Amino acid sequence: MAVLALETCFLKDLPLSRSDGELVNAVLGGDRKAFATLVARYERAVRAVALSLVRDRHLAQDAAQEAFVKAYEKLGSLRTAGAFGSWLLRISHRCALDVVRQQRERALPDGDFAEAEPPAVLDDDKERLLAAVVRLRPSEKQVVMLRYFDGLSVSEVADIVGRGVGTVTKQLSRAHRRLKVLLREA
Amino acid sequence: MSCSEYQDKLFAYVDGLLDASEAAAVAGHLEVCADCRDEAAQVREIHERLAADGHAYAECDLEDAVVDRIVREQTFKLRKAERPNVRIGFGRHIMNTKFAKIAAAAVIVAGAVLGYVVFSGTGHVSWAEVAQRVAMVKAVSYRMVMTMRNIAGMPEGQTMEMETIVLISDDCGMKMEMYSGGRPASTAYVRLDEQQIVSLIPDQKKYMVVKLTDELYKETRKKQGDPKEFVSTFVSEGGYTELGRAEINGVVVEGIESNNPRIMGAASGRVTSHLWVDVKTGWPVQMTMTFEDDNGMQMEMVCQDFQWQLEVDPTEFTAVIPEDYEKMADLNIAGLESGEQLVSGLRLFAEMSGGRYPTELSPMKISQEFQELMKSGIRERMQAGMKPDEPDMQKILDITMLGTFAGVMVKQDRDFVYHGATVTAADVDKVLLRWKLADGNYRVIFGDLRIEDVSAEQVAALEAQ
Repeated sequence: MAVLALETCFLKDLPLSRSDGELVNAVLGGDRKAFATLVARYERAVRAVALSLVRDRHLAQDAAQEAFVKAYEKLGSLRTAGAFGSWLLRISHRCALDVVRQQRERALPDGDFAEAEPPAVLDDDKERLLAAVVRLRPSEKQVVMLRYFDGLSVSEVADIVGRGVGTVTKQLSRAHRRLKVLLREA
Repeated sequence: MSCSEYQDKLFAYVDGLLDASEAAAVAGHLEVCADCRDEAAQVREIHERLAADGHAYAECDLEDAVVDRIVREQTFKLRKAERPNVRIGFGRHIMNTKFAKIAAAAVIVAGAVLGYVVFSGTGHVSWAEVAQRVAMVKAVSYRMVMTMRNIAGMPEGQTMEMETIVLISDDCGMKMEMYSGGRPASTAYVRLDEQQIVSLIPDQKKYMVVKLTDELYKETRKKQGDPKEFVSTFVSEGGYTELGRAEINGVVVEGIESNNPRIMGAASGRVTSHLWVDVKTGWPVQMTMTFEDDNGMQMEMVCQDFQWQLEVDPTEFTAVIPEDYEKMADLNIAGLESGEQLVSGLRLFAEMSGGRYPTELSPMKISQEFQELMKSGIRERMQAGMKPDEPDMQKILDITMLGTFAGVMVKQDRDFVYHGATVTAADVDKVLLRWKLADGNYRVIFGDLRIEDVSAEQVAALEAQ
């Protein structure tokens, strides 16, 4: 028991997470496990972005998967390793749009758009909030998604994005204000 | 604290990030301020909704699915590449293989070109992965052969070939061993920490030191065909076509081709670049670039014999200047100031143009006018009158030196004036160019290319004519 407590203490003192930048460099160095960590870190955020556009859980899941595979393939072109999060969310956005486009194209022969539109998987409030989050500035969107969708603490988010706790707190604070405005507009 | 300052802290307050005293201060303010209380309620509402909604996106793990897919689709890239991670001393490596390589150079290049027989079947090379891997490389060595045709001033059909064995290290610098006609011509050393290029020319027992700026260093790397930049631009710019498989020197390779001029660092011109990667190891084995400008000048660069991921010894990048070597750079400028080399360049230009001189002495303008002369049939005269040997190249160099000299004189504030736009070879006593000497007098080159030193008053009188 004492050993377990000691281990827990020890683990707590370790840096909580490797930053995105460190993980990206590790992947580029051939460490595939590092990419799995990035997937685990961003899967909810990426799925949320996809869901905000695709409105179908399965298709959103496919779009999210596609986004990660694309990000892996293009990782070498990412100039600033630390910018991985917002870059990935942009890729997710494009992948989700591709899925939407494919859905529409598939629907065209029948000419029945109404049927092609999938039923909403989120209730109105949730959908509005998600749409507002997706419209935030890239760096704010990233910290909001990590903080809330992945349930991470502010200091964990700071470790991941490689910024200070104070900066992340300010970003979250600004994001809250913007969300309030965006929700009012919606 | 003002209300807006309290409102800045509301998120941190709601999220429990404030210390006890700060939290108490905010709580105290909220009790007395209805606006801020309202604001806090909204922050809390969004905070709680976001936290609750987060669960909606946490259905199942994507992690395994993504990694499985990456493994499945990209077996090639995830296969442990046979990295040629060999520890070799660069100097020794060159010593062992240099002569064999040079002797075989032409054969290897020809063989490689003939080797571009495209196999059928789709490729498995992931170009993004190639770019990633190359970007990680800290040091690389390779052999670059540059062949140029239709260069202004050179007889038609004659090619110029230069071969360089290059070692580039991101941490230490560069080393370039240049060969001309299979003989060592010079070795240039760039040490990043010293910010200079030192070139040794063993034939002449001379050396040259050029101060380096970051831009000049980048340019130097680019001119040597920097494989890291080549691969990165090739892949990141996209727009390439797959060439499928081929064989180069017994190695099965897969290639891509692009016509993007930016790969060569050029803004325009007809460019074709090839990148060939070993299918088995995933490392580039050959890069070629061909370039043709509007005047028909053709250049081909072939980089191969790559040694990726070398472990280098920093002393490799340090030039050891033998005691009996003479410094060249300073002598060069002094030599130019005598005026004789300038006269030689101007004379050649006048011979070709029927008595005209370059209208301006900027390197660009000189090169442009010179190429025009070549095109208008003067090439034949040169061919008839002179042999395409060393002295010719020397004169061409003299012409290009005119631009360099003018630049130096202007930079040094030497009251340099050039009248090439109006003065021709027939204007025997007119000042063609002049500059101020250290003693206050002026050195004048007249229209007939005689050189005289005169006083400032005399220059004024001559120019007033």
